[in-house]
Amino acid sequence: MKVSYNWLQNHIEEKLPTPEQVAETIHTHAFEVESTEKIGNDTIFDIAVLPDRAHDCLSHVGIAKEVAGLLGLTLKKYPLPPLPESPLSIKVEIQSDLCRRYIAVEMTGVKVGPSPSWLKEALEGIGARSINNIVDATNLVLFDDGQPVHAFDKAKIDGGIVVRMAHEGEQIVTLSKEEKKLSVEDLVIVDYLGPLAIAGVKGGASAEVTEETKDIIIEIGNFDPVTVRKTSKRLALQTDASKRFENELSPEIAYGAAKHVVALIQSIAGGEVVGIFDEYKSPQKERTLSFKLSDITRVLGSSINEAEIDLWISRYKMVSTKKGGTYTITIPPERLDISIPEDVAEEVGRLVGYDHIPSTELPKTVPPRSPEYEAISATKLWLAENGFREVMNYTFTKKGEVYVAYGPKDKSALRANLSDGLKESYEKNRLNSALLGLDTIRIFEIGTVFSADKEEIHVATVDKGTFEELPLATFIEKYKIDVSQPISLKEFPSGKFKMWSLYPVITRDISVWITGTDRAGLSKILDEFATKYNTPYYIFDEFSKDGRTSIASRFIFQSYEKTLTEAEVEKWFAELVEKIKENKDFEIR
Amino acid sequence: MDTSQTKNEIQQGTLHPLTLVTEEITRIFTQQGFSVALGPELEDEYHNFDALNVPKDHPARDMQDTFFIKDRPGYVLRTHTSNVQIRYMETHSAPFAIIVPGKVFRNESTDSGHEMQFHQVEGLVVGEGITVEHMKGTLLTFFKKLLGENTEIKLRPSFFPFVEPGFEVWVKFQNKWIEICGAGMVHPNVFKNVGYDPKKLTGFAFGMGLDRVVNVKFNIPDVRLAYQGDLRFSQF
Repeated sequence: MKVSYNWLQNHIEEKLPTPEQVAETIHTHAFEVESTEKIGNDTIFDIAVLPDRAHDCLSHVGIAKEVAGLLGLTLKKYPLPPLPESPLSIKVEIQSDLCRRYIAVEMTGVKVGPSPSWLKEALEGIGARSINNIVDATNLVLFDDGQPVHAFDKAKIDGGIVVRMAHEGEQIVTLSKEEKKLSVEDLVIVDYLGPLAIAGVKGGASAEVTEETKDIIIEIGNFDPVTVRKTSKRLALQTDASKRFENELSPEIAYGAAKHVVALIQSIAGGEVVGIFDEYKSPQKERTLSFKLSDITRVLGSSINEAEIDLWISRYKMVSTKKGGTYTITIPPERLDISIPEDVAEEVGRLVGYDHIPSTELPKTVPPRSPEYEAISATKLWLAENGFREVMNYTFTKKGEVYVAYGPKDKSALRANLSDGLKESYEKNRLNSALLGLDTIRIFEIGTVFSADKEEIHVATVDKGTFEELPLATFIEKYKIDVSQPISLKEFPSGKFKMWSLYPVITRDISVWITGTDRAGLSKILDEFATKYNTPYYIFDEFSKDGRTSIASRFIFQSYEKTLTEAEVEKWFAELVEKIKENKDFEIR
Repeated sequence: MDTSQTKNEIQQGTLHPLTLVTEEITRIFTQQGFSVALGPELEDEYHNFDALNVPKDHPARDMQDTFFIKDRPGYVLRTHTSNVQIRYMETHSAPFAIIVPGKVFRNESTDSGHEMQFHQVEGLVVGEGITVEHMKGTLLTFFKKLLGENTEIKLRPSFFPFVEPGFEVWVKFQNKWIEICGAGMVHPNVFKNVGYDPKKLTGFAFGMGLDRVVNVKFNIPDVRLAYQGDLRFSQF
């Protein structure tokens, strides 16, 4: 979420530390700050709010509370007058419990127009678009309070407002002029003619606020998170509103947001409040939580004492009592993440800073052996010692006995054997055998295979083109592999991975008779050529006859930049041939 | 398969880099008192999600993120090795310390940083009096042994449903801070689900992507290279 430094400053009495310091504090003690960007005289943070704090921190107020708590600063208060309790001029009816609270405020005589520059800049700074003063006011409240707000043109509402489940196939044209087909699982806001909005997701075009709008209905709702998430996912409509509702918001924040949006609209677009509708059938219960110091230290360790708990209570303005070592706090309604003492341990821990918690070793024990793992490990090492090279292939394949329901299109089966994959590896590596410097490819894989009724660990090997696949236990028995010995690598290898070229390989062989003993001379020529054209080689055949030695070498040509042509390689190779011919002791076969 | 050749006649084979890293990690943890536990790759939703305090409607349980098994409702390819936490606690009593290496699956589109299958190692320590201090000490010792004596670690707040508090573990390796591991103190609901007494026991859990450790350790540019069955990958 994009958060403006200047906007945060508006919520804090004291001067904030520098943007860098604020970012560092948030990053270390609350959420990852993914980026910090200077825009004009402001700094915009991109903050990855954690899922358990999306209830209250997808908003500037939420982040400001964190910053104030972590840095010991004072939150600014913006007292607003209550809204008049008169009724609306139209009827509102809530027909589904998935709408947890519905506030509708009717305003008359507003003047729709462009927003003042401060408002435009505030929205544009965090990447939102300015539309008109009414819509911008609703968006500002969303980004400030975290409560989505929607405005309807009252003149375009036919009859009254109903919140209900959509009918199968019911259609809506959204504000962005997309036509969406609804299902019975979607919650909608309708008038007597049809859908006005997809609840918690997006408004419709039919009651859009435009330049001509005079009277408005402002909706400040609270909708079931799972319903909003499913609807937004199915309709591929991810909006700032849906993102907040699907993470669950406290219905308690709706009334404050209503006062906020009305005050803002009145200050930038004028208008009078006609009345308010507020249906809130099952108000969120006040929750308290009791805990002792020992509940915190059993999680965080004994370095924490009551002073740190007291600090958290005072910094985060928790209403609390303490009796005989037991703290009881009233959980703020928007803090849906707090319900057990462990949640308080997290709060105290991150306020203090995890760097301040010491490190302690576990008590020394000799662990029980791990026969299941050791059998796999011993078999792998035994195979490597016998010249086999390990590969790993994909579990997903074309055909098998078990399939995944939604998966990779042509490979949605789980492998029923390792051999099919190993065959492909074998072919691939055989083509590369020159590059690998191997004359035979001996490879193996140990992995899980799936049949209709069970999964099982198999071993598969290829040796000189002969394949074998057995269940692990059978393999161990057949080859009498000793799994009782403790297994450990002598040395953990280090080094830097070198990516191979993805261009094709050309190989050239050359066989040379050496008369005499100047073998080193030949090696020198071969080495120099290999270095000049960056072409590795290896000797694949060597024998002596009648006092002469034959040495056969294979050169591997491959570029990191392009596909080499036969002609190019031919030209280079001719150089090598010439060079060898210069020495009378060498004869090319 | 021909095993008649003597060892001197044939070239020594190679182990896959993921195996090398797994072996190294298990060796280090064994020295710290851990056993190695394994578990199924095809798992029921209870062990993969419910018992780990992941709510029924959690976004991770969408078919967009998890591979569900066709015609077998309630079964998935495990999305993490944490299913073995539950299976182990169901059959063993505390105190214990285990690590769980294994293959896991996520329904994601693949690119150089993402793969549909990858390897994880999970750790779980449960006992009386286990705190964040033990978690820090264990992980610090582990990363020093794995990456070098001057390796540093840092904890940041994070969130996973099966722990509280939750952490991201960052390590300073070759002068760069990288996020490498998720961790946390076992959530009391997880203990309740396996019949442990959360008033008596505490514990910590951690999990890290082995592919990421391999890539960091050896500087490998693309996670997908590991599963091509290509021997050119086994350079170590």
